[in-house]
Amino acid sequence: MFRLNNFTKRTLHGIPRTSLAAGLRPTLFPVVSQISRNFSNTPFQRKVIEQINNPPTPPSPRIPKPPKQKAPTILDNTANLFLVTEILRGMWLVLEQFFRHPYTIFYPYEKGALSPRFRGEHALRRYPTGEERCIACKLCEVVCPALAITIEAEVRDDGSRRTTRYDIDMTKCIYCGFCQEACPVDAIVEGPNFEYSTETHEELLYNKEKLLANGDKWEPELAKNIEANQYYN
Amino acid sequence: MSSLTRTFKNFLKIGPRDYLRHMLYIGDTRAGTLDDRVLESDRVNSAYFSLLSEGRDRWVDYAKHYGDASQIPPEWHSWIHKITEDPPTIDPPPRPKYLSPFNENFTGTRKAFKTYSTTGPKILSWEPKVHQRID
Repeated sequence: MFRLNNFTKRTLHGIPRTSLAAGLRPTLFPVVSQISRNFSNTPFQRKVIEQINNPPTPPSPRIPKPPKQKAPTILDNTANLFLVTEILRGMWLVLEQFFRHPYTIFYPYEKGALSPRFRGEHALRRYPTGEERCIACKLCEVVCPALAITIEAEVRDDGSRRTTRYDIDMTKCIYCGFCQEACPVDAIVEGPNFEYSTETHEELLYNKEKLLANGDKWEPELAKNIEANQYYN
Repeated sequence: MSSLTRTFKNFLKIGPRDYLRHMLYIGDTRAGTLDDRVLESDRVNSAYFSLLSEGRDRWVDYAKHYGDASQIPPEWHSWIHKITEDPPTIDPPPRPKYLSPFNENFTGTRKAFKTYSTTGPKILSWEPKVHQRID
């Protein structure tokens, strides 16, 4: 606030308000500084050191005393005992939970979310003409860290190089996805199917026919998943 | 089971027969939209519903009593796993000509996969031939 007595008060705590730069000569500096102080945010009245170091303690708030707890009467104890209120409260909780939505999903009627990059059961894909893609380059066999893939190749009658054996031991496979990353023609892929559990070990030793059948069965979804991932390859 | 109001609401919507069927299988009272085209085109004759107002909007009602998750064909598989947004009736996936008829997982039955070698034997066993003895 602009106060006139700031002009008139030349001294504060007994110190004459003169600039040190001006020496002892009477100048206009105190008056000018007083005018500028009126527009500053800093408080004008400075506190002495003792007042800063020992601020006045604020009055402590009064804590209300807690009301005295009443001991349960004979009537309360009797009601608890004969009306079985704890059991009724527990049964009510169960009833509430019965009509509440469950936190689990009802497999196999509901199923969880999957990524299009999910690495599940293997499949050998075909070209749109129906020709199998695999050219027996054996890159997947080399890259497989679990040594689950076995490939044998021969030259077919028409002169093209194809596999005669493409075996995957699904019990050795660790589903790392290196085979589908190594494949130059997108032949071997890991599909979205994970419901191929079997009762015997022998059913999980897939041969080439089984893998091609998987590809023929899952091709609609495989093509969509590969299409969804085309921007990230 | 869903909330009491939703249970009554869906019961009035689907009727007592479907109510009992849902309670037998999925254990919940649900009302959704059945796509009639599904029943015609679906090879395993399952019915699929979608209820857009709730979070768990996709489920399957298996035609067989022993419904197995491997009975879901690949187009609907991607829909029920929320890989695709739209059901295949709206957004059909490519269907190449070499597509094979859909099979469920046949393990434990006589149709179960039995592995075999696709090549001939590499090691031929010795077949001894006895020459004619010359006296």
